[in-house]
Amino acid sequence: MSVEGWALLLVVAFLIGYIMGHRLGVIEGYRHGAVFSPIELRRRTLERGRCVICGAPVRGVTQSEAVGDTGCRNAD
Amino acid sequence: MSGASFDWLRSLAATLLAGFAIKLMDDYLDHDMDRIWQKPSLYELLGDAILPYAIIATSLGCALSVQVACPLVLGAYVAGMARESGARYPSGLTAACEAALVSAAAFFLFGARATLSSVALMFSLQLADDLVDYSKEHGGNRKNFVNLLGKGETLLLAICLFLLGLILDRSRAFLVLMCAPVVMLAAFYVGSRSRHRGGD
Repeated sequence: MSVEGWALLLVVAFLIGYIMGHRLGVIEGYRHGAVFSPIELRRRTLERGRCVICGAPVRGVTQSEAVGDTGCRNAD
Repeated sequence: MSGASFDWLRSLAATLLAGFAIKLMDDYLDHDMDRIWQKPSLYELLGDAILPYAIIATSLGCALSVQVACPLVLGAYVAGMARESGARYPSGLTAACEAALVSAAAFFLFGARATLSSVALMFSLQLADDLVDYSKEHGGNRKNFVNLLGKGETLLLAICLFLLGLILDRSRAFLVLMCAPVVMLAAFYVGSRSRHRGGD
């Protein structure tokens, strides 16, 4: 086989691997994001003192307190 | 000048003219979308005169070397049909049927090697053009292959198709590789200047 033939075989193999990896990565990324997003939302809400989605204030939260009484269901 | 060099120059000129003919037809067919996305287009400069110029370029290219120019033009048509899947044309045929008919005609007239290499090379250029459009934020067009396949997939597929064209017909691949940037840059330069003049 010529050099171009080997190069084509290599690129085709890389393309197949890339397609498979991309598709699997999207599925796995979505799964990780679904697990991670509630925790991240809660972290940002408590840091800002306001819900990142609806803007409702977080009441009674200090650094020493783990959970505050919020007016927002999203921080629960 | 030796016969071999003269033949090579004829082939180069035929490829260049075929390239301009393809670019003119492409700008004519896509002028609506190009206006929306503010992409430089030869249609802004030439208007409806783009068609006669495309015919002249095709005729001159075929006169210089029909074996070089004609498969490229037909291959570009087949590659263009790939973006129009499902569309039905005034002939009553779908895009796939028209592409199959044109491919069959090219096979019959010019042989399998010339046809397959031309289609592969033109498709490869199509994908490269879509990648450039996507990077310049002209990629909102739903027919852009980057939107359909993904950026990495489009790039790798373009390389695969170019290598396939290179394996099938090395001289044709090198001619296309040399002429395509010239055609694209010239068209971009002329299209950009015409837009600036119109805005003055």
